[in-house]
Amino acid sequence: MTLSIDQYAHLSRWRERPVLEKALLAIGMLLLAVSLPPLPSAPCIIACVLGVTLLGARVPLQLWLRYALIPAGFLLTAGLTMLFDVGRHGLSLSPAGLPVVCGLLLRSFAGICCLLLFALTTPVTDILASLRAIGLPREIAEISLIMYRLVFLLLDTASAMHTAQAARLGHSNRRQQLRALGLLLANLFPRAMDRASRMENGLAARGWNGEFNVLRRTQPLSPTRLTWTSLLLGSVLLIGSLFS
Amino acid sequence: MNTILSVQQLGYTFPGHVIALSGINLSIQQGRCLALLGPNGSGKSTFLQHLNGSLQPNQGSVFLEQEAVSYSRQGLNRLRSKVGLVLQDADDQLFAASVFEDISFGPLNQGLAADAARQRVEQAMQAMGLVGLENRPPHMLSGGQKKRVAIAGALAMAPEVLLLDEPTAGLDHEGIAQLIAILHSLMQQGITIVFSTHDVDLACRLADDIALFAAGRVIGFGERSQILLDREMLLAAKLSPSLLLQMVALAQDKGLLAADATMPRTDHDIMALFSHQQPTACQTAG
Ligand SMILES: Nc1ncnc2c1ncn2[C@@H]1O[C@H](COP(=O)(O)OP(=O)(O)O)[C@@H](O)[C@H]1O
Ligand SMILES: [Mg+2]
Repeated sequence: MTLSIDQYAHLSRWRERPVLEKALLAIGMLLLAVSLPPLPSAPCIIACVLGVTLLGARVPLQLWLRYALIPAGFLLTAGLTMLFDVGRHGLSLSPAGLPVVCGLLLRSFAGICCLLLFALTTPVTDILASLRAIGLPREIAEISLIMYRLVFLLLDTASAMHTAQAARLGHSNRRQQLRALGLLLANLFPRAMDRASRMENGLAARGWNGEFNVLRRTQPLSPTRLTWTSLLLGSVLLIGSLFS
Repeated sequence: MNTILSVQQLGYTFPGHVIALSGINLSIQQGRCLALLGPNGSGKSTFLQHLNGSLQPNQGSVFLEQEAVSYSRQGLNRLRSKVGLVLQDADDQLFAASVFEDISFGPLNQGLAADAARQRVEQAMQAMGLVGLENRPPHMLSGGQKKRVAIAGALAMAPEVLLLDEPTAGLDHEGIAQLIAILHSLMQQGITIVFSTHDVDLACRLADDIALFAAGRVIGFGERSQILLDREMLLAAKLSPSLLLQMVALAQDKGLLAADATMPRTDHDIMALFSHQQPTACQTAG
């Protein structure tokens, strides 16, 4: 089974760090990347964030590459197309020119690094909980949480059914494949409803009263780490605005 | 002995006239382990759901400590605080983002303060051998681990009775061994256990008493040996005596096991009985 980015986040060394700390660093750097001129701030940000991701949060390099290369590929192709103009006289170099495109690429890549730092250390459910803390209505947070859980269950069921269909040659040609998909979807719905009602029973057995109260395990905010984060952000801001 | 839970003339019909239970009378003794033994569709799960108020009987009633259960919110809370239920499929029970959070759900619903709840969660995790998995989301656990999280979730509510529906379903050999060890330690702590199964060997291994289910009725109730050695009764419930049970009967016939001796619980016990008496019987060539 290949793990999703969210599953890695659950196993991350930084999982228990307060979301606020991680957000301050990652989103802070992202904002700097977007607002400062790309040189020299973007390379600075890339270096800092990559250092923190690989050395601080100890995300394995291979894993990081796997998730960084896909968007990086998109960026490159987008950059290449921006270099050229297709006009009346055929292909010509775009007036925007190389420096602008390079700046844009650097800046976007810095943004990707920031988002990956956040995504690889912070599971969706933690983000939901933090959003609740800053005012997302409880109902929406709880429904999202349950949906998040059910999506995985449903995916498991769907993939098991898919395998079972394949085993009985349900996908041997296009027509059958389409028919099998229809059957799968049609079966998924009653199963999902059945699952939901059993889940309701299971929750009721544990005294569910309509609210999903659970104990969260997060470390308290650390002034030391916050100071480091601010220093890092501050120096990037300084370098970025002084030497541009 | 103290009766902690009992039912009288219990009957339940699902919508669509499926009669799942009828005329059931049963008392559950405190501190003992009761197996609900019966084939698929005999009503075991339906019965378990009545014992903690997940289903309300159409006929008859359920009694907690001789008092008829009230199905008001308060009454149900009282029942469910004393009687924990572990569903057959752990996925039906786990919903939270992580193991730790999930186990804390029950204690918080009981109105415990955060510190007390945290303590309960930690104890339950320790007892179920889950330490180190605190942050795992449910979809990243093995079947055995999920099962243990589900049990921990019920256990953290400090119940007096623990109901388990087909507790070994879907577990491998290792998972079953772990589960049995856990249930033994719970029994030692005096927790009353009621579990459903279609596996006569599991009932033999764990139970003190057995209620034999067939087609929505209890057709036999008594101590373990009384039910398991009654071949006719097992067959009437569409179960068959396992090799273990046949060997126990054989041992009795051969005089290796006195009729009033404690009945062996595992393959191991019965093999020991035979190998002591007839060393040649167990020898294999080469
Ligand atoms: N939700 C339901 N709706 C209708 N009939 C049901 C439902 N659940 C169980 N039954 C029926 O009730 C009977 C007892 O089922 P159950 O308690 O699940 O048996 P067991 O757990 O012993 O396998 C079966 O005949 C089954 O078909
Ligand atoms: Mg069942």
